[in-house]
Amino acid sequence: MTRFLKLFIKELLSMFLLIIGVTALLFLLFNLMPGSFPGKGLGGAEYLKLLRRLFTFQFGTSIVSGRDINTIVFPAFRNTLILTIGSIFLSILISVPIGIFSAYRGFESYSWPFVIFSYIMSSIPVFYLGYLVIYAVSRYTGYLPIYYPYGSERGNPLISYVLPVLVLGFGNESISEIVRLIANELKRVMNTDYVVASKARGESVLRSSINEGILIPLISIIFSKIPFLIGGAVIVEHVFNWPGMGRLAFQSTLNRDLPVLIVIAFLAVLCVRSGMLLKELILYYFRPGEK
Amino acid sequence: MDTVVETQGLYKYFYNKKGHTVIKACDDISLSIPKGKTLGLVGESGCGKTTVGRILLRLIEPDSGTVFFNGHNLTEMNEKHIRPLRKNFQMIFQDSSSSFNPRMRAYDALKESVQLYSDLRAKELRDEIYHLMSRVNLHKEMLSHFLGSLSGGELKRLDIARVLSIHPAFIIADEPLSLLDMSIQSQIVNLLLEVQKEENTSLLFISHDLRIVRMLSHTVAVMYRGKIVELAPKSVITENPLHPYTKHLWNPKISDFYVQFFESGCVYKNSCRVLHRKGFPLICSEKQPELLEYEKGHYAACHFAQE
Repeated sequence: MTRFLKLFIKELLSMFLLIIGVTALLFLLFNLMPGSFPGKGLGGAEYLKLLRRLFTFQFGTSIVSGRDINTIVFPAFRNTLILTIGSIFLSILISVPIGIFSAYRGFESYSWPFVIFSYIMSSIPVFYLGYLVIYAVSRYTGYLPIYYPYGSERGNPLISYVLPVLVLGFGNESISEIVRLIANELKRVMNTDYVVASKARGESVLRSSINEGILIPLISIIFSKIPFLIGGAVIVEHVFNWPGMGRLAFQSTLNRDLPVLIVIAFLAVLCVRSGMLLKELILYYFRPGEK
Repeated sequence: MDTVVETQGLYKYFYNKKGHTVIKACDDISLSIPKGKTLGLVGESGCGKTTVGRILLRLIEPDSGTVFFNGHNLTEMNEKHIRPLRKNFQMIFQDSSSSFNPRMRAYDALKESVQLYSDLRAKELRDEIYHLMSRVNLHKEMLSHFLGSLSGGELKRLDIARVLSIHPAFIIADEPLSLLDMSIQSQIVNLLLEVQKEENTSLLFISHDLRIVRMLSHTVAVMYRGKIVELAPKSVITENPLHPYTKHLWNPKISDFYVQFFESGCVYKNSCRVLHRKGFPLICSEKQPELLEYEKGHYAACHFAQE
């Protein structure tokens, strides 16, 4: 437990320092921007006030629209979260079976088309894949909505999640990485002595190597991919006109809306670092007894 | 007497990357082990004893030859059909420190193998595990330790406990006494004899320790470079060994040993005393002698076995 506590405190501390660093940098860059606009020329006292607002979650109002930032940021945050988590699940769903299959069979027999497919999917840029899918779907079928349903425009918002999640799930480069990692790790673990011993006892090889061969590498890679996924989400949000954090950040940069921008950076840091903390927590559970 | 395990003409060569034969681990191995009896397999390290054991379990595929277990031809079956049979043949692995997952607790490792073929729950399960631990003379406290933190001898005994928990009909004991000190060695030998008596278990006892092989076995097979060079009942082979290698094992002299690889002829010709005495007869460097029966149940592979 002490090890866990130490880790927790270390993570919190680094999160705190990172937030200070990121917001200070944003503040500085904002002041260096050319032109004259509201919010320019603020000093250190204002920065401290802003920090206090951040850590008490009283974000204040947007400079441009005058709305409460909570009502702007959190719906966008929710949309991005759905997009990101959905696409992670899709990536896992596609890549783990391919990885297991190619660990069992090797690259030579029958698994190579799937492996090649995963590499091709990972090398296509995600915006290109997005436009490709929009073109194909809107031109030939017209079944799936390619925009987010704003206001009372269309009925079921669930259907509009399908295409962006599909594109981000296939198009982020994690598919081929997961395939390669699981194929190698599972193959290594399946040949270790203790898995051979449990095979000799009559246990299933896959069951006795699932922890070390699949779950641990999968967890490590997924959580280290979160920053890249958020980056990929920015592009997909643009392609699909999706009201998420990425688009909001882009728009508020164009609008020079410093309060909103800083809240977005704050939430992004919080998200990424708590993802890392969660990863350590889960690995702590899967690797008991490790010093 | 019914035979439990029988092999016929097992071959297994290991190759290097260029396809040249490097090690002949099994070279025409034919063995049979009757029910409730022990076959001791003796030989120097690297002669293929462990490979024979692993082929019997189908953990290594043989190049050719057949393995029969209770009438089932294991070499023709695929893994799916062998799995239900695996309850009946178990192996005590040579390197027990790597045959356990170091991230497991000892209790979980035993629980896993006990529950594999029985559906014991809660108290019965715990009693069974305590019973196993006391049989291999380990303390209960050890159950809560991680396997990575146990010593080699403790893991070895835990491995034996794990095999005993399955109650197999045939146990391959691959150097089960290495890493153990003398007092525990004798405990384990007594335990194996006890189990054999109670459950009528057959044993393949692989070792290089002749003292213990003589104590446990009913029949002894001597291996050299992948070949069985002598096979006889224990009393016969200890009193009247025919093959020069067996004689050497019984009465080793350090000056006899030098290792060199030759392609053709008798596998043992490099270190053979008879060869020296006879003045290097041509037949020894040209032809591998066959395993012939000289007395009833006493086989040897030497051109000069009768002298």
